Amino acid sequence: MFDRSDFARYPFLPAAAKYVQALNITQQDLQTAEFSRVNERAKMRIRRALAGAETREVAENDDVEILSFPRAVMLLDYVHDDLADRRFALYEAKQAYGFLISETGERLVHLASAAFSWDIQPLVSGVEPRFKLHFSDYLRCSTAIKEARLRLINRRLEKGYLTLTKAEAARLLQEEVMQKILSRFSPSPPAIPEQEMRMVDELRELIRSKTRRPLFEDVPRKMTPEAMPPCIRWLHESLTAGKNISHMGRFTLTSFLLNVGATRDEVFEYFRASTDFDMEKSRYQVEHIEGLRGVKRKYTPPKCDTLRTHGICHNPDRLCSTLRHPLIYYRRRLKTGLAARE
Amino acid sequence: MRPESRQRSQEYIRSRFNEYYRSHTFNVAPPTSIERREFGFLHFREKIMIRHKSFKDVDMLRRFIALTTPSDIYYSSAYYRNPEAEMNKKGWIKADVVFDIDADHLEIPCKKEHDTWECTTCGTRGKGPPPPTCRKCKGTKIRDETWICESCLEKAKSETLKLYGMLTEDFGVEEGHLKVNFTGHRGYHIHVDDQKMVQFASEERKELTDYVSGTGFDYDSFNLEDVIREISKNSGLKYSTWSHRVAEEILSTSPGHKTSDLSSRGYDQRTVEFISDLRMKASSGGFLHNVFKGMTKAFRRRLLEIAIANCASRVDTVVTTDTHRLIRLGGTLNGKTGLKVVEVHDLRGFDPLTESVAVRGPPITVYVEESPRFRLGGSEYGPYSQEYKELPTEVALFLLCKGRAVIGGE
Repeated sequence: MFDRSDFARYPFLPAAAKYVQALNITQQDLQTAEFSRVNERAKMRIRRALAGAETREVAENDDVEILSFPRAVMLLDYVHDDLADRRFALYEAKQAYGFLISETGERLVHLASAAFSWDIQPLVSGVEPRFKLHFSDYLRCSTAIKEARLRLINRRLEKGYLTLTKAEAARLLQEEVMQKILSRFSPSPPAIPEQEMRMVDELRELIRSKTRRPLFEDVPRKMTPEAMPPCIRWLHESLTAGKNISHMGRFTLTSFLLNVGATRDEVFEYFRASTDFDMEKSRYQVEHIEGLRGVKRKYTPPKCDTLRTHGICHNPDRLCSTLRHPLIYYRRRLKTGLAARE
Repeated sequence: MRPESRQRSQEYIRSRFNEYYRSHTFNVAPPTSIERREFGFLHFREKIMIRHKSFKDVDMLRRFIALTTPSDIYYSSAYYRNPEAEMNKKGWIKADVVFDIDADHLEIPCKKEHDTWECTTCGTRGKGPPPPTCRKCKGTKIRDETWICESCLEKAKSETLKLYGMLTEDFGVEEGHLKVNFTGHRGYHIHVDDQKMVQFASEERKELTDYVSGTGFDYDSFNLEDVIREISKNSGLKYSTWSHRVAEEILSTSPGHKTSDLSSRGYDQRTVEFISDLRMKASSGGFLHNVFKGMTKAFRRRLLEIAIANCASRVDTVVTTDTHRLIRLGGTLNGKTGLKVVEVHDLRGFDPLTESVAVRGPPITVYVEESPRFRLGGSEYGPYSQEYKELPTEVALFLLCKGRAVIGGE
């Protein structure tokens, strides 16, 4: 059902992987002049991914196209950079979306079931093709997309199946492709063969020059209560008013405070007003969130969407509607100046 | 109450639990793949959770329970490669999807009547939710004592029925993959072991939680008249299942609804007037076009919020999204009541206060501090206030577990 031109467009297909495997390419082959076009194309894929290119590309040669995909994955695996991996997966997934959107309904169904075992069927209705998809396949992809209309609650859901347009199906498949590509990277850095060092170093330099790391780390170490988002202020006010706040609320407040530079004692001060304040228990919990106990992981507060689920999002303001995380709110408020608050 | 009375009561409770766990009437409802589950136990003396235990089979679990007599017994919704390892080394395989509906999380007026609190410093007691500080000594160590009554349990049941309906109708979960348990206290658990759903990560479970609890509804795209038209034409493509649900809640359910019914369902005066007006127009074949759109955005939002709250099932959001949750084991006793965690086969006809009674025995005398009137095992008791009463074992046990009574003296 799939041919080489399909593999060129959808190199993540299991059948494409089999095709490449059957070619029996060795580590030596990769360094030959014959392979240089594949190497160049692989590097080009990575370069375009890092540059955030949107354009759809047409393959000049199917084999170069097919082989350059696993080759790029292999090189990125050596480099072992999470952000670069994500950029690459996103770029490749967007390419796939571009091709998927112009497939026929029948082909789309075939691709989705062959590559991802989707429980999907075409629906006979009207002019525009529509599909019936099981909600478990739907959710695996839709949770990554932040659009109100794609939330399960805003869909028609009957006996486990929901209805999709072709554009929606292609968009969901884009997420699935991205996850599939990400799953191909090894969890810990693999050993790099000597002869690959030059290319890996080259790529590392490229990644360094092309990426900026948007972490929470640039938050100043001095806490500024005026910059706190409404949810955190609401949690604090509830505590001071002697109201009982949920476990999730306590976790949110504590992890937020620790991430904006509060000391452990400052966190205790916040909780002292609480009706059931217990110093020993609090110390244990705070140390846990700080990453000093248990799984030794420093926690960040949940994102806005999760806070909404647990009923912690209160009085969201205009700035809230433009972002997704309470720490981003805080940082943005610090940057744009506190006077801007309405 | 004197500490020694409390201690004697604890010993009494523990020995009744022990008898039950040694008897043939104790039938633990073993989870599927028992060897892959983590177990956790609360004990009478040290009130800390002993967890990371596992059992090869149900007999070993039974023997362990009979030997140690825990006050509460839990198992993991998750299946692990190494259930006894520490958290990040357990090797998560999958987890049943669990929904928890508990009267504790519901807003019910009767709570003000029967829930009480006690200041552990000076012993002052009061009704309703606990105040931030004791009214008398200003102490902050306050213990709250919840009670269960028929209306709490009814409310929890109706929330569970709504959830059950959504799981079978919207999600198409087969009844064989759904298990409903009464928790032995104030609520119900629904366990889903559908083979696709058990693979869900926390993100997907969050989406399920949002769905059943009505969170994230797209208010802006909702137009009541359009939805009604779509329902009547039976061409369900444009609007979501929830839009239909909400429109039906507002309009088509029992056209004979009196306004008092509507206000008891949480609608305020203006929304009641609007709905009554709309129903009249609709039943006389009137022109509904843009009636809904003509209202202010704030009014539309309020109306929808009330309607959504009536359709939603108020589940504990933390329980469902947690993929490593410990949950009460079927067939075991709840230390807060002495009642059994029991599987429910016919939810509508289920009577929690009869069917969860597990420990029975001859009457014993207890000193009851304070108790409202209640029903248990088919008979009614109370109200009691600071008096000695001879009560059947199950009733005494219930009051002792709830901390409303003690064995012997004040």
